[in-house]
Amino acid sequence: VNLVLVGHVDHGKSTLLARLLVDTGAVPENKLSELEAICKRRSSQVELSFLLDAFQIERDQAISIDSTRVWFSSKHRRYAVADAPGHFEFLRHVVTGAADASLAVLVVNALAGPSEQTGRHAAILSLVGINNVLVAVNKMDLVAFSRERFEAVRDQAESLLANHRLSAHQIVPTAALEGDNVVRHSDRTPWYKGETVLEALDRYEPLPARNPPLRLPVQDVYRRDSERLVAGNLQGGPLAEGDLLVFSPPGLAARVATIRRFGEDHKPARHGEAIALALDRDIFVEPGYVASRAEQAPYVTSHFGASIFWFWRTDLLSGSLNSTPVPQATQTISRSNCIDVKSGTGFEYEPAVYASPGGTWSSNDNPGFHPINTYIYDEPNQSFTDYFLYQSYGGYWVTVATLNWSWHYEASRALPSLPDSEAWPTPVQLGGSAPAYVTLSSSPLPSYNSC
Amino acid sequence: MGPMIDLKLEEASRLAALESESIFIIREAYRRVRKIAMLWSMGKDSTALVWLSRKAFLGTIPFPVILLDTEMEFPEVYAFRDSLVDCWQLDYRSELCPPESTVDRTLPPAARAAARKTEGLRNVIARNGWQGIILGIRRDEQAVRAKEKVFSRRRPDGSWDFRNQSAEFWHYYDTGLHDGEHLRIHPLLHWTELDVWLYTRQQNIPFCSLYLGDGRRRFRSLGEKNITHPIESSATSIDEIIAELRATNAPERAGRLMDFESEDAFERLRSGGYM
Repeated sequence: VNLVLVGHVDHGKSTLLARLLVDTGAVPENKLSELEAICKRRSSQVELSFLLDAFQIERDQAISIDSTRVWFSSKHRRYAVADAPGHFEFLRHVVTGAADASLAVLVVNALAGPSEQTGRHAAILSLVGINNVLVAVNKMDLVAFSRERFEAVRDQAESLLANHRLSAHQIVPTAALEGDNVVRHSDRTPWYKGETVLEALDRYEPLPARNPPLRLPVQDVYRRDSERLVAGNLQGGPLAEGDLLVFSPPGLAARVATIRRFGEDHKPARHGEAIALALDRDIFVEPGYVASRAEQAPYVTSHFGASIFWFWRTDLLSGSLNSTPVPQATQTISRSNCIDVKSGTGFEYEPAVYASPGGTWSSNDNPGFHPINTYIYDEPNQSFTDYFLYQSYGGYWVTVATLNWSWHYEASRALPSLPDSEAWPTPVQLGGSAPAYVTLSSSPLPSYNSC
Repeated sequence: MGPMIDLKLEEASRLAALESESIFIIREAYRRVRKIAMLWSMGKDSTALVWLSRKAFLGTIPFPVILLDTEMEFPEVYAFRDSLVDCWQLDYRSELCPPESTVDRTLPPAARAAARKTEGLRNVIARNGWQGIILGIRRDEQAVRAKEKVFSRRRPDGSWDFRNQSAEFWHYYDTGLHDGEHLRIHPLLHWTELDVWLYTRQQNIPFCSLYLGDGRRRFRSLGEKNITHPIESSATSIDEIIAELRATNAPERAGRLMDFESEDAFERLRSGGYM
């Protein structure tokens, strides 16, 4: 099970994780003595978080800068944990850590209660599609293990989660430095009869994996001898030789002639497998296309609305951004009520950004769509995150989006010539909160994310 | 209570998922960066990486495979290389690393020996104009490596700006580069040491004989012979290595002197461009 650990800087995330590692026996023998020696040299008490905060500057300032991934096992299963930095400047690594997680552990300081940063983290969790959050009300030692204080913070945390469409899996009072209610039940919280953090983790049942519709996002096309091989990682499946595939967006069809692998050919390909296909006829396929069965084709669109999370230090301004999803197309982003990371406001789950590939527009009132490019996506709540906007490969800014509406075509038809904006049908409300990624760029040169 | 799981099935499906993800990353590096090369130290990790690359490209790896040679590898390591280069049809190239006198003198001695590879890597990148180097480091090896990204940018001098790494999620990798920069690409980042051995066994990938030892001692991690020690171990087969790893709590790099000289030795090496 993949976990992500989030929370405000100083609320004790790294210490909680280090305590989980130590108390489940995941920390190598000499690590603890190495740590004691280092802390002695630094004339400080033993800082469990140093196990994770490996950089000198992280130790000097007692903060985590980048996300770390570590592993531990309970009696029941193995956990991979991303420890996301709590500091405001490193929010993008919270996304990095949360994107692969199925359950989040949110650490809240019992003395301070949920902070603004706690709210931002909750928003990110919601945006990347996490539903369940285990809350550790930490540093209970600072409030003398007060039941009243715990209950107050618990109620605040619950309403904060509810505001972001998240539900609390369990809320546990902890003192991670000493290990209270992390792996061991604490005798300092006799009023708390619930689970420890580890027990609550073990109770978590990930949603059973759905059988997704067959998709092969085309990653590359290789020439081998006289063959052209379409390479990609299969989703859904199985896929067998002789099967008919439709490639979106152009809607071209071909049968699988041979499934090529190194060493062994011909067996049906299974979900998740990295494969290469030879097709039975010569159709033009390029990276970014998505192959599917004809009766389960994804949608194709060139217009959509999405709530996006913007990482860059400058504001996302109407008409100021150009994205380069494919070399020949540009896209302009306009914003209405953009999520503002700094103030933490704007999480209204309204369509926040209108993206129109191709051409420019001036404002939301007069969009002036000039669609050139197309995007491919699936029904809401299908796991399309890996290939939605697959054509946006090569963009420079990456951000997270929740798709809200779109105009779309059924991809099994060849894409008709696109009508002008007046002729477009009413947008389809997508509902749900299906996460996706969008790439944007503010300049033709690649630069770095900065927040 | 957690669900009961079939360990064998769980292991097979985990290895299949790791393999697919790594092949995706290798193909992505080739597609998006093109001017790339792969480092092969002949250790178990980079040999598994070469194996995965052969799978990714159906037998013929379309980029060079490089040894950063300090001439201090064990003879068994060179022999292992010679047995595979022709057999696997590799575009193999050896890069002789400059002498220790050219590296940062303020580093502790073993780190100084290791830093020769940093210099060798810088030279070979500059001479060939490579924009991407694929290598087999893993997050579970070392706490500083745990902070790595799959696609990790290096400045023109090879140094790592760990304060300024890109977000990376859902198989989206930032491959943008400024002039003179290059990417380090880490397809095995999410693997553990145990995963590598389980995969090596499952795929029957060859590995260097030094990992097995004489029944009393063996090498768990292979580095230069002047700065690497064997560990006490009775393992003489890959099954015994796997059983040993399942039982042990000792860190993999316990035999690597450069990790233990000072608190920040490994961070300084990596910030300066070490692998």
